[in-house]
Amino acid sequence: MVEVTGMPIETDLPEFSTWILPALERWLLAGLGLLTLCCFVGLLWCLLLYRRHGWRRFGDLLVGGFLDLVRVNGRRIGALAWLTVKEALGRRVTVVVLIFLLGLLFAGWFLDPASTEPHRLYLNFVLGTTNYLVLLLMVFLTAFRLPSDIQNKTIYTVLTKPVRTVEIVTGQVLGFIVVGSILLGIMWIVSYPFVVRGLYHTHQVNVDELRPLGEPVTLPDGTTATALQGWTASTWQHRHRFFVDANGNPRVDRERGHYHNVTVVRSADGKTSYVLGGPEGQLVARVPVYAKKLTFRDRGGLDTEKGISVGDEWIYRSYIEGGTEAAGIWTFENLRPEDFPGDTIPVEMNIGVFRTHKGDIERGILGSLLIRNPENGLTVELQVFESKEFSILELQIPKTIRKFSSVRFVQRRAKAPDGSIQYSPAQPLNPELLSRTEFDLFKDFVVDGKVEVWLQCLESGQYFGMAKPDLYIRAGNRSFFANLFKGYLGIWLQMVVLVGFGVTLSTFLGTPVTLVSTLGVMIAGMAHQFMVQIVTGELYPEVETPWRGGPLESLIRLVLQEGVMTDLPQTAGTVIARAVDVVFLLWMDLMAQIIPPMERLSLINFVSYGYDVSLSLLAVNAITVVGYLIPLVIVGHFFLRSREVAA
Amino acid sequence: MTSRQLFIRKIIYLIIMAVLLGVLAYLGTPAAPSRDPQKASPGGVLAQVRELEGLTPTQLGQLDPGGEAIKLATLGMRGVAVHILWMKAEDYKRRKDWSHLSATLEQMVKLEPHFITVWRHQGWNLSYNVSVEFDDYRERFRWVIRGINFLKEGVRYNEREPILYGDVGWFYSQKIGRADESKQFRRMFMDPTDPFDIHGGRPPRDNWLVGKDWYAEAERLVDQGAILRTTPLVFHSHRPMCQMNYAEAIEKEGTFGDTAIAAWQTAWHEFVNEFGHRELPSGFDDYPIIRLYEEDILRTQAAELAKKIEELEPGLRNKLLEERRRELTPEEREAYDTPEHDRTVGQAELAFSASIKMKLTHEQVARRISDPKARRQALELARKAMALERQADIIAHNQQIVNYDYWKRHAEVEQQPEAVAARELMYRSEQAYYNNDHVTAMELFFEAAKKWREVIEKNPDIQYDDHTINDLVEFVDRYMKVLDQLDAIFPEDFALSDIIRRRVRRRPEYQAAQDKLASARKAISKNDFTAARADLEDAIKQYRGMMEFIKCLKLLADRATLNDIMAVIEAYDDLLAKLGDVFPRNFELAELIRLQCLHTPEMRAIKRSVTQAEYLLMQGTGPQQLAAARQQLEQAVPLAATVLKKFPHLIRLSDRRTAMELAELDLRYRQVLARLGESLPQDYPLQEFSQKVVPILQKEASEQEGASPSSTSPAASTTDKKT
Repeated sequence: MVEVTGMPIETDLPEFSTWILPALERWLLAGLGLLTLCCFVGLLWCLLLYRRHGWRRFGDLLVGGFLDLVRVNGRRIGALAWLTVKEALGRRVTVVVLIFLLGLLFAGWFLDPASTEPHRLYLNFVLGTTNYLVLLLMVFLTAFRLPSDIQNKTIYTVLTKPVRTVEIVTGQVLGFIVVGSILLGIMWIVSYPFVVRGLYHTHQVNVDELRPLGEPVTLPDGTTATALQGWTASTWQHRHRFFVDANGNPRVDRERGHYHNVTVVRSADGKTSYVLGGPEGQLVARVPVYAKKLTFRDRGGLDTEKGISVGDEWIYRSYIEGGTEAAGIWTFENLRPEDFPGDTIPVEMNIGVFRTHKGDIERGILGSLLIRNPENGLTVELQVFESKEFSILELQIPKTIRKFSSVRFVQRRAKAPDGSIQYSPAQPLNPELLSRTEFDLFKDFVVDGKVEVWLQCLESGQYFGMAKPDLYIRAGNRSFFANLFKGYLGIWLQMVVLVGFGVTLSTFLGTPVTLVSTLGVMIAGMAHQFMVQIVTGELYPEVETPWRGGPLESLIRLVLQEGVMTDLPQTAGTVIARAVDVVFLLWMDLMAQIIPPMERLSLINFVSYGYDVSLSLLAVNAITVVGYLIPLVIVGHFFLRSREVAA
Repeated sequence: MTSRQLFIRKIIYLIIMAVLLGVLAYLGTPAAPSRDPQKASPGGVLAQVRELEGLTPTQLGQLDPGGEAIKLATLGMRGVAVHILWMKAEDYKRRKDWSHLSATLEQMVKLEPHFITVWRHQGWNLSYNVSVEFDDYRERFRWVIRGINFLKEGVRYNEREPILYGDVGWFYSQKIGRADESKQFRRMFMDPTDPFDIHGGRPPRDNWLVGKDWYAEAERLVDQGAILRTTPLVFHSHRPMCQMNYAEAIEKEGTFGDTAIAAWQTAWHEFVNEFGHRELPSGFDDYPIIRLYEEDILRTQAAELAKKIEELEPGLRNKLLEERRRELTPEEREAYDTPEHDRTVGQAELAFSASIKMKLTHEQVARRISDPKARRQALELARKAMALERQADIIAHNQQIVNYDYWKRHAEVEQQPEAVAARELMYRSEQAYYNNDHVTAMELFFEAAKKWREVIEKNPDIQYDDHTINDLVEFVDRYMKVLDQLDAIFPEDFALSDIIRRRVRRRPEYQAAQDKLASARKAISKNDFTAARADLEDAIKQYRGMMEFIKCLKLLADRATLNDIMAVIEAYDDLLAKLGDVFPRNFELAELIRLQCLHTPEMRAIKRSVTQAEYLLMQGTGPQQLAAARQQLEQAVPLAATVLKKFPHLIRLSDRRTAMELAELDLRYRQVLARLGESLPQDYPLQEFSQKVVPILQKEASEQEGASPSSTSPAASTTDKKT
């Protein structure tokens, strides 16, 4: 049992291989649309400005612009980027590092090391502070750089040189990225010792307070000894149960997600004392292999998409009823024996428990873990376990299964659209298989890398709650330091996309407007998911008819003190408000398409919950950022070029 | 605007600014304390008011540099920040992210350390709302303690807020002592190894006593003049109630003898001598301050004055009362005359309206005194008496809020050795039950009931107290399962039957059933059998409903109530006889009749004889076995006739199971005689039963078989055998 909570993942993580092609297709379509729109607006603008010469001007602008794009020079970009870096340093960006260090210095005042999961607090603080500081810095830097150059006419010192506008825009973007990268690098290096040091603590053990545990046992050398147990002294409002076995080997129990290594010290007068080291096992990077899908089986044994709602406001988890046929079925794919070198495959789970009656309060609810061959229906009950909420429960699936409570043939039943029941598999299992006493996991259960893991609640009237990420195979551990780097990489990606927006907006807006707009992009990007939920009406997904009102309707409801589920009276005011809301929602929909999903780029939760960030996810995020950056640079280039023309 | 005008305007602005700054300086100059009183300055008006009202940060509680730094960092947007944090906290709670929830609360209180609501609301959130989210009771307990520690932190910042001390007291006492998991919580709280670091190295104490200490601290602050932001009456009752709950808890966990007696004595002392004697605001303008113990004294004084008025014209009061009495309806008069504790629900209502009509004030008596001089004197006495009664009424009103009388009497009774002994017997009985020693459990239960009888005889008042009655009935109900396991019923002389009776009489169902019976009797006298049947069936339903509330009645805990119920059944039986009908198959009180039948010696003998006869017939059907079986059955037949005489309604199937057993006896007897080639004797006592009941039972059995082919009934199987 690891007394830390598992990470909830409310939206499915994209898999690079399946994500890239549809994403590319969407991106090209959106790019084409944007191009058409820009051309149309540009033409209109040229016609208004230059009347009959408008067509020619537009043609020049377009052709010249595109020629510039293909004739970019890396050296010139490098020089402009370097110029940007120097100017940024001139603007005292180092102050941000000082603020960060100052924050770390006083963080101990506000971070509670006595919390149940202090490592999460520390990591969230460090990464969160970095995130906001760097993003805000970029907002200010980008907003002040180009507009002030244009305003002060200093831009002409650059424009008079043989440089193209695309090189200016790209150079600025790269320059800011370099500045941000240096800052992030410093913060990454500094934050690691801060977290490790912040979490460091140890406990005293008073030998006199240890009490015998069990009967004395005879050791191989003929002497007798008794195991001891007791508690360590309290530090940060927790202590560990302490054991010394009959052979004199000490160990401490896990508490608040960590343990301590114990050293035995024997003094000259023969007295034994125990010295505990720092906390271990808190800063980890588990490598989870998530299931492809989670389906449910209802109490009658029929497959369903969802389990039961127990009335929880947070509908992340769906529940199964105990003592019935109900089960949660995780289907894993692409499992290969060579990925799991040991004798067992570790499975970790983090399930919810809901009791409808008190039951035996002294223990958890009993559940069982089963494994099923998806092709022939062979099912083995591997283990009966006792539930514990908000903790990661570790179970092992042996590669050679010799110990199991039951073996049976389980057919899955699903309701077809015509109402008939479809059985899978349709044919019964060879009875010989059921009489076997030993199974090979990969030969008997895994078919083309696919296997089903079932979870059932065994106690009637009690429920288990689960979501797809709640059960995963733990494929090992990676370096926490590297994972922290990936966390910073997430911040870096956010910074890059924001720099892109900032520089592009600064090519045609003044400083204050650029500042507010970039800040708006940042805030909206952080709340991207919320925006999408408002637009799609998924803000209250638990209700069948989602509320799709906009700001005016919300205002009316606030004034009338009406809940979101009640119907508003059909007055003229309501009708007008709803009509205005439709326009507003359309606008918001457009914004949700344009604004980058900053919160999705953030990987802070992975680091703080102790889960490794997969390369697949990093690749998806990086390509998303590149996808934003390319059109932003092109748009910025055209805007700056048009300004130059106008000048 | 000319430059001169601009200049003048600037000068005016400057003057206004200077004046305003001057006022601000006068009002807001900070205090300058100094060791030398001569040099110390009390500061401006605002500083003085802050000092006077105890609002300076140093007076409120400890200062925290971290909190001050955060406050400064928010650049005056502290309120906004707290709002955002509050929303974040709610979101974390919704998403069950407990680490971040508690971290957010920490940040929130750093920003608003003197905002009491934050501490109270979020402390409650942690101990009550977050803790229950965990399935493991140990985790629940951990979060209860977190909530308490959070509140204690609040106390550190707000040292002069009694309500926060009270909340800590409440959490320690009520949350740990009254939760569903109180058994486990109390065990962990008093664990000598103190794994949750509750006692800070000191030996563990009972949670109720720890809670009491916090209340005591809160009271100390109030006595020193700290502002109490809640109702003082209820607030000050918590401390003695903690002691009361402590005494109850230790008894529940098996501690009796001197420890329990001492605990109750302390509880009584703290409740009556300390809480009862405390000056409390009454909530009334005419007597704003009261002491709860004074009610009796004031009423005695008022009675003495009334006596003096009476002496001025003896007999006048009685005369006036008699005048009023004549205006009452006969029902009101009867209800009024019935002792208060013996009134039914209906009578209580009538007596209430009668008492309003009969209410005679001292002034009304005084005004009717014929001698003018004596009248003047009486009016003065009446005024004083009425003032005393008004004060007593106000006290009584406040007493009701905290249930003062009940708890006073409860503590008084519970400290008596008899009561402690009764509780000990109850505890031992319960232990015996859990150890599956049902016989010992039953014996101890009846001993406990007898002990309670002793307690009631020593303190007759408690038998009229609703709470005591409910407690005792609950106790009896709980032990019903012991009797049920042993197939036993309550003995006729059950020691607490009168208490149950009292409870019965206060149930509205009892009153309704009685009314329906009376109404049915009237309808029968008018030959309106349909209405009478509906009334009686309603009465039966009412009694059935009442038995759901007072479960021990199912095992005949009170014979007087049983007689009441049987009166309805008998009336229903008479009516059915007139209508030529039988009891419905799902007759709701059949089980009550069956229980009575089963516990008659005749029925036990019948069962024995029938079993014996069946055994003999299983051995063989030779003449010898048949003769022996006949002998057994012939012994049973007259007993069956006696049962039918005792319970004549059985012939109309008031209890089908018993009727079926008798029918089986009848059929078996006929079968044996037929095999012996003999006919029924002339004076066969079950002739009528056999002719009337057996065909109905057979018909019902065949109907039931038709309805559900898989089910079988004894009657059906008997029929098969006969065929």
